[in-house]
Amino acid sequence: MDDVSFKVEKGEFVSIVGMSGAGKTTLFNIFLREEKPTKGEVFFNEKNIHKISQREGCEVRRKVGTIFQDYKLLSSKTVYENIAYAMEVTGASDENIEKRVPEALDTVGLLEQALHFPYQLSGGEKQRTAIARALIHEPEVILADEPTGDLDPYNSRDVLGILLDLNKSGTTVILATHDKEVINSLGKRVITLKDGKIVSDSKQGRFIL
Amino acid sequence: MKKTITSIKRAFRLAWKNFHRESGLSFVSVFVLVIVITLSVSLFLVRGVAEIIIKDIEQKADVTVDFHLAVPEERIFEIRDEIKEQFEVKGMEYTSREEAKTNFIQRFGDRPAVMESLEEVGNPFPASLNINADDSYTYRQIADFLEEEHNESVYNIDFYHREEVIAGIFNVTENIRSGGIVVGIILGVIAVLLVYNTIKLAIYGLREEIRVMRLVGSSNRFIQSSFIMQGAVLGCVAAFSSFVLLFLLGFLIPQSYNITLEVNLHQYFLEMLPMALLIQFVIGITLGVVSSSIATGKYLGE
Repeated sequence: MDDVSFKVEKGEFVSIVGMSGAGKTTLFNIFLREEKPTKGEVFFNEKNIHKISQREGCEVRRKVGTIFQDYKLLSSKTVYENIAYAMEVTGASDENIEKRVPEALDTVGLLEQALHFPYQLSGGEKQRTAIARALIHEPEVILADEPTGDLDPYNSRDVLGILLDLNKSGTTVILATHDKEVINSLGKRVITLKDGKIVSDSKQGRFIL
Repeated sequence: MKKTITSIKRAFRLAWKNFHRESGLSFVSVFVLVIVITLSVSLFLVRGVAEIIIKDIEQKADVTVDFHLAVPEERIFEIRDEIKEQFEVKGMEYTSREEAKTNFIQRFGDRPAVMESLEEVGNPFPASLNINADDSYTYRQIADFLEEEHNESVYNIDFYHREEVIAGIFNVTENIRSGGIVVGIILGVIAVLLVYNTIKLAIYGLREEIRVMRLVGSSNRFIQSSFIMQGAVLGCVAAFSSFVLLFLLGFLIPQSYNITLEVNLHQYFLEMLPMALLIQFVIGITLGVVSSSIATGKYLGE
C-alpha cells in the first residue's frame, strides 16, 4: 500500500472497492493489528492502534466486529458457542451470554440452527453466524471483507440488508468488495483502490473499475 | 476473584469440549502420553526392584573375622565397638563359639560320622564377627586395621582371598546404578520431545482457530489458558489410562514370585501402586501443561 489516507466518520457506510490484490485485505489486516504498516499511522477513537498495549488492542478488537468471505468460524464449536465465545473472552457473565446470544441469533434468523456445527450450515447461514458474532458486542464498527464473495444473489442481498440495518441503527460499516452489483445498489461512499493506492473517494460512488 | 473463577471454569469447559470433539487428535495425544507415562513409571518400578536386588547382592558381599579360641568374648566385643566407632559399617553380627557349634550341628546333624568326630574334638569352632559395609574399600580398611591392631586376637579374615569377588560385586552394582540413571535421562529426553511434538502437531491444526480467537478479541492469556487446560485434561486422562494398564499388567505377575528371600514381587507391586499413581499424574499433567504452553506460546508470538 502506498500513500493511502482517509477518514471514516461515526455512523458512515463506506465501501472499499478494488480488484483482487488491490490491497483491501491488507488494509483490513492493518485495521485489525494483524499487520503493522511499515510507514504511517491508523487511528481509532483518536488512538494510534499500533502504539497501544496488547490489552488495549484486545479492547479495540471487541469494539470492531469482523466478517470475512471465508466466515472464520470455529469449526469445533456450534453456532451458539461461536457467538457465545466472543462474549466469554470479554468476561461477560453467563446470564448475560444466555440472554444476548439468542437475541443475536434471532436478529440473523438462525435460532433453529443454534446447535448446528459450521459444517452443517449453508454458505449463507455461515455468514449470518459470522454477522451475529460480529454484532454480539454491539460494536462501533463492522469490518466486512468480501462478505458476499461466496454467496448466491439471494443470500448476498440478505447479508447486505443486515449490514444496512446495522448502519441505520448507528453502527459504522466498512465493506470491502469487488461486487459491482452490490456497490451500485448501495448509493453510499465508495473508496476505490488500485495497486495499493486510492484512485477515487466519492460520497455517493459507483463501481468505476 | 469471581472473574478468575469464571475464566478457569470457561477454560476447563472449552478444554473438555475440544477434548471430546477432536476425539481423533485427543486419542493420538493420549496414546503417546500413555506410552511415555507408562515407560517412566515402569522405569521407576524397575529401578526399585533393581535396588532391592543390588542391596541383596551387596549384603552377600560380607567379611567374616574368626578369633583365636582363647580370646574371651569381652575382648571381641571391645574390638567390635572399635570397628563400629572407626568405620562406616551397615551391620555386624557376632556368632559365639556355642552358636557356631549349634549351627554346624543343624547343618550336619544327619551325618553320624561327622557328629562322632565332633564329639571327639569337643568345640573346634572359633567365635566370629560377620561385617557388612557399603563398599570394598571399607572392607579393606577394616581388614588392615584388624591385622595391624589386633593381630594377636584375630585368627583369620576371609577378606584377602575374596577381595576380588567383593570388589567385582560392588563394581557391577555401581555400574547398574549409574547405567540406570543414564538410561533414565535418555528416555526422559525422548519422552519430552515425543510429547512436545505430538501436542505441537495437535495445536498446529488449531492455528487458524487461535487466529479467529484473537480476532474476536480474546487475550493471549485466555487462549493460552484454555490450551494449557486442554494439556492438563490430556495428561489426566493419559495418567488414568496408564494406571489402569499398569494395574492390569501387575496382576499378571505370579503371586509366588520372589525378588529376594524377603521380598515378594507381587507384594512390592501392590505397595508401590499409590506412589506409581502419583508419579503418573504428576508426569502426565506436567508434560501436558508444559508442552501445550510452549506450543501455544509459539503461535501466539507470531
